[in-house]
Amino acid sequence: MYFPKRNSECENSLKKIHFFTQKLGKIRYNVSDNFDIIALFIIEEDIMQLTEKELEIVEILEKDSRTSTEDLAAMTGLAVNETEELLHKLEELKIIVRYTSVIDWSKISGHEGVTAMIDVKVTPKRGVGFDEIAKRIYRYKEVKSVYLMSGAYDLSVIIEGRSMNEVARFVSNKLSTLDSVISTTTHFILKKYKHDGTIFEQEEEDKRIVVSP
Amino acid sequence: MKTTKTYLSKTVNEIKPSGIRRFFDLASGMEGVISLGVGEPDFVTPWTVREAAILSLEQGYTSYTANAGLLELRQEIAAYMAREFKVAYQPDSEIIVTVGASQAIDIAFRSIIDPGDEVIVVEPCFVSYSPLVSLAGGTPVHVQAESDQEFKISPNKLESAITSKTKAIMICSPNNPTGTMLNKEELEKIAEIAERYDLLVISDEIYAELVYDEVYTSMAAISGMKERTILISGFSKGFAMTGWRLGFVCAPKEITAAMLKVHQYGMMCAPTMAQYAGLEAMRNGRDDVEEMRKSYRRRRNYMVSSLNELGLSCHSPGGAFYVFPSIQSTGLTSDQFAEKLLLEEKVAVVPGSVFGESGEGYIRCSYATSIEQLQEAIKRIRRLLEKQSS
Repeated sequence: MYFPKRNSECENSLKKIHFFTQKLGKIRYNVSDNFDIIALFIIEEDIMQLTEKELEIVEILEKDSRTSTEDLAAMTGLAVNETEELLHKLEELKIIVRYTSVIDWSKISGHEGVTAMIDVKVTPKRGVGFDEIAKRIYRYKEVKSVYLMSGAYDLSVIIEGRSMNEVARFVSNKLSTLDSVISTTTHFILKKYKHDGTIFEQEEEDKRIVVSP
Repeated sequence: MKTTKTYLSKTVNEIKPSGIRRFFDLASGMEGVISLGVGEPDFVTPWTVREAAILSLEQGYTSYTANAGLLELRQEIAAYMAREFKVAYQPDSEIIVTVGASQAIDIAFRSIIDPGDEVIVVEPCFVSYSPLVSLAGGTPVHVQAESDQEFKISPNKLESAITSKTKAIMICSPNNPTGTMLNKEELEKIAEIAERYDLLVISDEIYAELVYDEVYTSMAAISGMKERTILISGFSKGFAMTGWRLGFVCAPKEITAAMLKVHQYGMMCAPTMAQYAGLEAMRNGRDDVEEMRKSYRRRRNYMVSSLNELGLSCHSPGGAFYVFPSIQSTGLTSDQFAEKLLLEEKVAVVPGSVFGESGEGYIRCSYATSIEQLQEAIKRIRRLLEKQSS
């Protein structure tokens, strides 16, 4: 990971590195003269090695979470009860977090809504770093995602609301007023072309001839 | 003109039109057909590859290339063959870029066959081998693969088909239509025969990228075989580039020089735009291939397990994207079964008999179709079988 020349952004980057170091205890970093900071991240905790079959299962379900256990078993070459056991295990480990659908809300009258991505700069707190402020933000139900970012800002917050006004109100009343928040930059999404690997508005017709050698 | 028949070459006249044609005509006019009859990937060519072709057009690369193809592309192919299949070919003298693997097969036969020469063709096999042998002036001699041994080749049967006129053995692994892959030991047995009788082996390895269980072995990687192998491959199946018509052939210097003569007079060179696409595929298309391979493997597992459950027994094929279940339990011929399935349940498959006599009693189901379509197809096949038995 490479951070830009020493300036005010760099300060925050250093704080992020400290934060990770405290949290995971498995990260080494060093500072060199050529590049202001070079951090080497070695994160070992919370990361699991899956077997080939387990990987197959999560890959299939990520594409279609409705795939039946019977079909999963057939596709992976496992017995149905083995597949069930693996599913339980993956669910318990929270590797499979939830089974969801991708909905194109823009097609549903009265539910079109707006989505905004907000770049948030914050001051991390001693001892808890970014966790506490992230928690204070993600508890709002309007907030769909919160990510800690490298680079120019700290938290990327995705908000969904019924209208631009509603989102604007949330940003000015709730988000900006939080103690640790230094600044926010709001970007509204105008159109979703591709979301979570799925291309919207796509007519996938099979262009092949029906029978070929 | 009253009749054209007298103008036609006797050789061409004697060639039967492909049996696939009939099913194509039958299925083309119908709505709502799920096709398991397609011999090409359901994936569109990876975007990075399409982009490269568009860029080549924008930059004006629209002229001929060297007859053997862009040197850069041949270098990439040489590196690829060395890396993936452990065979070393010289880019400047042992590789020709062709218009699909089909043209590679054509120029291979035309470069080695004299009138009367025999080529042993192991069937069931791709529909064009035998006609291309005939068009080159040779005689195809069919040897049937062992239907009770997952359609592998019996070395004894192979050997007994050899005569003083035999020049080459044509094999294809992983196979279209059976999906069967020959492993190293099985290839060695064929190699031994080729060496003993001083024969060439034409090895169609177009599906080499799509193998699911065992490590793939190329015929040219078998000790002593590079010198007597004409290796056919291409971009169509692995990289999902059927429409680009881009293949290649690797062979010893002398044979490559001969094939280059046929190629330069008959074809000039492969399409330039496609060659630039191929270059990108070789350089940056590997991850896409791996994605597709994994997807095919899932579908294969699904099809093998579902068809066997329905009583249409089939082995689990090691490669390509076909399963070749037996329909003998229905009491129908493969042609009758395929027609019934198409007309009554709107599922298109290809009768095994199209690929040679030994394919009778089997149907070829391509699983190069989305898993949802496969699930629906299995449902329909089940319905047909239930109707049959009641």
